[in-house]
Amino acid sequence: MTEAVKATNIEEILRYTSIDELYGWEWEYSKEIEIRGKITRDVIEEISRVKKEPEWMLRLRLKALDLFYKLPMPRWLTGIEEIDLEELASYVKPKVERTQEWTDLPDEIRKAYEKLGIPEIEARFLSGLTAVYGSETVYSKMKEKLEGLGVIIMPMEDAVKKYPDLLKRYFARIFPPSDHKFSALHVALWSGGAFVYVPKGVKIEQPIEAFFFIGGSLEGQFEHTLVVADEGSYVHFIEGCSAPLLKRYSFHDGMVELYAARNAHIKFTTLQNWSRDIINFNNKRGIAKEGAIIEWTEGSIGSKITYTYPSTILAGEGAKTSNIVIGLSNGPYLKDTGSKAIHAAPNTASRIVSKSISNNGGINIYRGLVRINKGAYNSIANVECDSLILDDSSMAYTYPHNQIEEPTATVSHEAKTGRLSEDQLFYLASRGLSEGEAKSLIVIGMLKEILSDLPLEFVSILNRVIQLEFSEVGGVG
Amino acid sequence: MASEALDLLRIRGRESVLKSDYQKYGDSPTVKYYTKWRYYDDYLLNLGICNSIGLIVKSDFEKVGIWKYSAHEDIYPIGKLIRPDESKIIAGHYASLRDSLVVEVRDDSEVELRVGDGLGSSSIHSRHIILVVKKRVKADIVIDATNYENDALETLFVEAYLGKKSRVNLLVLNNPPKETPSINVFRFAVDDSAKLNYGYIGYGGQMHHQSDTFFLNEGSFVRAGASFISRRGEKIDYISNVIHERPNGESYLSSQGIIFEDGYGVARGMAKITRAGEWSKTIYQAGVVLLGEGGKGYASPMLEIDTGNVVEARHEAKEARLGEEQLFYLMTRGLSREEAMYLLTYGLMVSQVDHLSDDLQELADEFIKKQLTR
Repeated sequence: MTEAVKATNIEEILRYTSIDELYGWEWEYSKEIEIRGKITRDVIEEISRVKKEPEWMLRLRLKALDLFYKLPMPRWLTGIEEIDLEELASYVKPKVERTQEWTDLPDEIRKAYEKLGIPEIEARFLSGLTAVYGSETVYSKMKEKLEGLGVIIMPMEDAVKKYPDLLKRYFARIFPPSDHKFSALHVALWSGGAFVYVPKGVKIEQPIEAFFFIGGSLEGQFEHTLVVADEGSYVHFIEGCSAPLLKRYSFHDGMVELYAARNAHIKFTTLQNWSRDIINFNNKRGIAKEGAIIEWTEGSIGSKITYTYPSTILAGEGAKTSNIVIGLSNGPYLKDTGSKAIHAAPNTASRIVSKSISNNGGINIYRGLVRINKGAYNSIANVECDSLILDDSSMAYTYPHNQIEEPTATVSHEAKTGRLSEDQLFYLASRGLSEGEAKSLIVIGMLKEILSDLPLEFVSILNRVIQLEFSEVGGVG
Repeated sequence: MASEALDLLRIRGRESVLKSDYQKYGDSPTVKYYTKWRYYDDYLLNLGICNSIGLIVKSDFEKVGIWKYSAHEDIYPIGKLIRPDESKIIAGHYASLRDSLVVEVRDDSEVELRVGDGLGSSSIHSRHIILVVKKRVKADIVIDATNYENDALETLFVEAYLGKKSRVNLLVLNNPPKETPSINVFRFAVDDSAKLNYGYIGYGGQMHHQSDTFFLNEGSFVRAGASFISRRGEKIDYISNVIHERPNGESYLSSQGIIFEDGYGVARGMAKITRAGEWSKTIYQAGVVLLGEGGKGYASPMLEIDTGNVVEARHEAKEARLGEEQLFYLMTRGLSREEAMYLLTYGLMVSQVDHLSDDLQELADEFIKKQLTR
């Protein structure tokens, strides 16, 4: 094992004094295929051919490509104009065979995961893990005991071939490519990602994780995650993402689709810590049937620009959703995040909590939608937005929409934007904390709703990341 | 009387009607435009010029100067707070405008501005007021827009300049036409240390768009309350915005929509504190209540805060239905459900204007009662 791959355990990770130091600059890795240039039918056909896909998937991709060219650029986005799709690689296949053993991976790929302690976390705390590097899944493994229960965790490419009937029912159906230009682009170019199916009544105790890594500049990553939880089942899915410092930018346009059947429960947690060179667009939507629960938790820490609006359609009576989005913009970066809850059935409930911290010229935008359709009797929705601006050059914008077409519904919304109070800072300073330490402590306090649901090791790493954001000499605790 | 500035505005208006959109961005992922602009389309096709100014003023003319803009066009600007190229509908207003009324409040006084008729066969009836309240002046102002003719797209635009340390109570009573669309755009430049108490009581029309915007200078203060009712087939999109452009301002904006039957109502807007507006405070509330099946009520209170140096910035959207507990309480006191609903609705509306002067509250009260028993 080389020196570069050696620093892997969590204690060592926590010793790094900056996030950049952990990964440093991008490094070379061997590629088997790289497709760059205008995205044409030929490009789509080539990707489909490389993946040996069935005909129906190619047709779906080509239909999405047509839509991509027909749909207008979303006008609410700022910063998206920086992306030149023709200079991006739309598909990058690393020169590596997919494996179930970390030791099979070449050093330059393995270190991307080991530096964040992913193999150790997998061994101790996860039911399954999918690791995506560039455009392809390079590692995928599920713990043996789940196989006996009928659980499926596999790379999306394999699922397309092995379970076409299941895939045709859900893939790009929950989040159709026609929604907007970047969902169409995603469906046309998707590559990598995980398919999870949890059979009736099965409750998976330990979380499943997918970890996405972008290894180079001017790469596009379009991974797709689909989780189908059958009646009465439970699953917690965690996705993490990271990248080294890049010489230019790269673009991530991923999609997550969740389907919670009657009385099923899906938790979906995102820990987004891209490097400052990634423009990150996420398409996330779930459907909750009768009595089902979908919980989204989004910790949006890194990236140059992030657009993400996890949404739930409450399609069955008594379905519930909670959506916690936390955005941290420290520096000249933009987090354009939010949430949607569509109440389409009676007695449904939604709770949206958005917390943001803007510092050093950072901008946080919250866009939210609560819609109560006619006939969604006695539905309840509650939205809370809490924005913290730590200096005079940072910004926070809040754009909520409450659309009510059912008179028996109850909707409430409140938001506040403010600064750290002098009282808070004085109290912490009197306990010997520097301003940076005090800020990181307050931010960690805001993040507690995310942290409480995660394995302890994740919490340690996330705490450390936040501390490093605010203090060059290390954090509190 | 010929006016070069008005001629120029009309030309710019006509050009912009062709070039501009109703609005640059969609409003939400599910409802593209909260104002149903299709109602306005036909009226923008063959534009004429109105026959008259369409406004009536009552006041003490020793304290209040009144003239047509074209008579002294060099004193105050027109089209500065509301620019003709902002949108297709604003352009249409200017393209059809005969003249603007200038109202200059020079001394403490009461002013009533009433929408009148006689605008002729133009497809848009454009009414425009330049309202100036001189510094340190106290004024009670009523804008009565309850008497429309129902045969044209009705527009009423107000460009208001409130002088330093002025104290203004302003009440708008609005009953838009039920068979034609309408739009009111009111903009207020509130100068240093001025104080504005604003109240709006309105009803839905075929499609009514109401946009009230307050620009706050240093140390100025605005409290704006609005309530509207939308009944069967009526539609209203009520927008209120406040922009803190200078430090130490204070703003409290609240709007409450009440939707009966299949009415349609939107209560929305934005509170913004710019970087130059640091150490300001803004509290923004927007809410809709649905009473009956088939109604649609949307609320969207937005915040844009460009600095961490704020005293307070928050907003909320109120609950969507009248409290069943309150209704039950009133019914146990012997009121029928209808009577209890009336009382609660009345209470909601009156609470939006309780910061105005007593005289204006009385006028508002009268109007609310009349409309609730309609």
